[in-house]
Amino acid sequence: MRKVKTVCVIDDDEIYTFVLNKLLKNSCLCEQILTFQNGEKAIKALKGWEDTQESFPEVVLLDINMPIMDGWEFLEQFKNLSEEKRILTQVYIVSSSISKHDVEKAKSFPEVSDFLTKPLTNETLIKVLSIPEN
Amino acid sequence: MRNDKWSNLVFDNTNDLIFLIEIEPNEVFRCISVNPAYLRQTNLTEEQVVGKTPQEVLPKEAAEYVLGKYKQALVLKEKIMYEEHVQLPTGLIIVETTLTPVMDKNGKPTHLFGILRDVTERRTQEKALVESEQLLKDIFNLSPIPMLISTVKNGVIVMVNESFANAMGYSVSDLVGKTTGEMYHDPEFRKTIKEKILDNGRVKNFEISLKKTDNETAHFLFSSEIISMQGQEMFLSCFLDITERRHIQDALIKSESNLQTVFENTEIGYILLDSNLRILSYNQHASEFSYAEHGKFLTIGDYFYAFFPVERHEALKVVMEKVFKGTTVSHERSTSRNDGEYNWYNVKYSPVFVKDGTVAGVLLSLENITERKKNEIERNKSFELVSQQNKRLLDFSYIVSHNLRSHTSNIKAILDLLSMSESEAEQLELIDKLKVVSISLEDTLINLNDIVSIHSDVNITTESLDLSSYIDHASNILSDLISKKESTIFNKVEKGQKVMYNPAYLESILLNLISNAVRYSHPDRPSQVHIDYRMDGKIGILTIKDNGIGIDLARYGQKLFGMYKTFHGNKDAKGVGLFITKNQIETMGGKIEVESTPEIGTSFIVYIPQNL
Repeated sequence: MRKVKTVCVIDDDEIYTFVLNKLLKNSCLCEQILTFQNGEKAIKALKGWEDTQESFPEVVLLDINMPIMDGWEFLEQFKNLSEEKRILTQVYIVSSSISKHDVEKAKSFPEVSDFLTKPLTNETLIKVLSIPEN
Repeated sequence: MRNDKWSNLVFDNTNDLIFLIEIEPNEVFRCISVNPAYLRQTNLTEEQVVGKTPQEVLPKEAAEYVLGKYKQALVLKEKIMYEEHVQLPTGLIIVETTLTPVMDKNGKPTHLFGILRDVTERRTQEKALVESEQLLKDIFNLSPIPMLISTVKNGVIVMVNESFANAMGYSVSDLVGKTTGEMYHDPEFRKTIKEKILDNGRVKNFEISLKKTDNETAHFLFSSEIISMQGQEMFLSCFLDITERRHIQDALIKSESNLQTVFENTEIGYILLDSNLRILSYNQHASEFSYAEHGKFLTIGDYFYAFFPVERHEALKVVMEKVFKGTTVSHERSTSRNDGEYNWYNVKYSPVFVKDGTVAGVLLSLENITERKKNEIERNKSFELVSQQNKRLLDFSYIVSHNLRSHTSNIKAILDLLSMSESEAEQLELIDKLKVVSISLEDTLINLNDIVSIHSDVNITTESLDLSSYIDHASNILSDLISKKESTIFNKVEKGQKVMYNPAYLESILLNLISNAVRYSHPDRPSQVHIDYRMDGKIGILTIKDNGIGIDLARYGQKLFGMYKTFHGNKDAKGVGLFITKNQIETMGGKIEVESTPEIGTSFIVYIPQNL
């Protein structure tokens, strides 16, 4: 097992992002955490890296309900990014929604690895952030 | 001998053939004299006849026949008459021969006096007469037309044919000798008819009813004429049996009148069209419908298409083609009424088949289904309302669970961190965060409570409210925000304009929409908010229009009125306002629409039903 280099958190809930940052730092499961308040800010950052040597975050924890650009819209835009770059990125939907509709919709995106329900526990984070050494 | 002279005159000038024969011994009959007519007609000379015997003049067979007759006269010693056929040069004739023996004093026949009278014509006429009488009798007896001959005087039946007897249920022999008066239901009726015939010499096709053996009534068309027969005046009467026809007619009249009763008393309008689409029949309802829709009452013979504007003919033709192929076509039609409401009709075109299965016409039925339709529309409306309500409640339950969960999960996460934390500074920081969560949770609960109260208010009171002053009041409350944004509110609603609404909702809706309009003003120009109100039928339409930054409706349109949706990244936005506004408007039976162009501005349009 090796440490994940970068985790990207996209969520407008300040408390959640604060707590998640704490958890990730405490667990030492990743080297770097990038936090965006909505999908638009995140997609802008990713687009900025498309033509650079910088690789995409290995894990994205994506909220659904956000202002300006929500999780779904982010996914629509993310699909259009360079496949070479995004293929190494695992996207997880993280929501307090338990609506079946949202779960089904998440499954319809092949880019989405799983649907996680808030709050995220240490165990879940370990599972999500454990990447086997190749 | 004046007598002799007279005899000679006759002898010489008659057309009858006269001859005198002297009877010689041994029954030799020698002709001693013939008259000029004899010679003329037989084309013989006196020498060829006078002084000769029949054997010398006639062929053997004829001679023997004649001699037989001569001998008969001699034996009988009196005049005999017989008919014979005689071949003359002019042709075969029938003669009536009279042979008279002439006696001497002793009573011994000495001469035979013979007269041949040509009766050919008379016999031919007599034969023809007999034949024609028989023919007439046969015609009378065999005729399929019932016939009867009765005396004028008292109506005794002299002759009657088989057809008449059958029609009346009698036999011919039963009827002969009866009087015609017996066959009328009212015997006095015969007098009326008798007078009628005597007045004109005849009657033709006069409708009468006669009593049959079984007391049933037979109906006839009766024609009669006076003839002379056996020296008496008789009525020759012919009858046309119309009993069957009358029965059918009676049944038809009865069924037609029944049908007409149904036709007129039904709630459905009917129009019967013939194959040329001309009106054959219709009822009152149909005519009234036509007047209501086309401004024209129906008339028999009218062309169906003439009731419609030309642009509808094509569609009607398509319908008629289907009907004439045997299909029934029906559809619903609405016609506007004077009071602004609609009448709904179910219009049905049915083919009218004749026996061989061809379509002979079209039956149009017009059923007023306004009530049914109203109920249907009402039902659909309430179904839609219930569906919407259900969807809102479901959405709401997700919202509640989502919003409460996001807070509880935060609390749980913070508490987990707290339990693991060893640094006091970190613990204090976490407790601060807990306070923030607690405030958010309270806000959420208040918002949810507001929404629940909208949903749970089943009967919200409405009052007549002065819209213009409510707008002014909302502007006053928002005056801080308005002056901060340097915004101008144009209240274009007429002073005194009343709306029936719930006061708290009206205030809340106006506050929300006006504050939105001001809050999202464009940084490059002074903010202007225009508010006006107009009526469309029974619906009041309130428009709040701004010249702000606008919303990309293609992107956010669907979510605009959702809960906790914010679009502009504005820090004040809580994503509750429009959700509540929409709920309040819908609870009042109206709806809210939005029109917007990014960078140009936004209009919110609120529909306020005023028939509450």
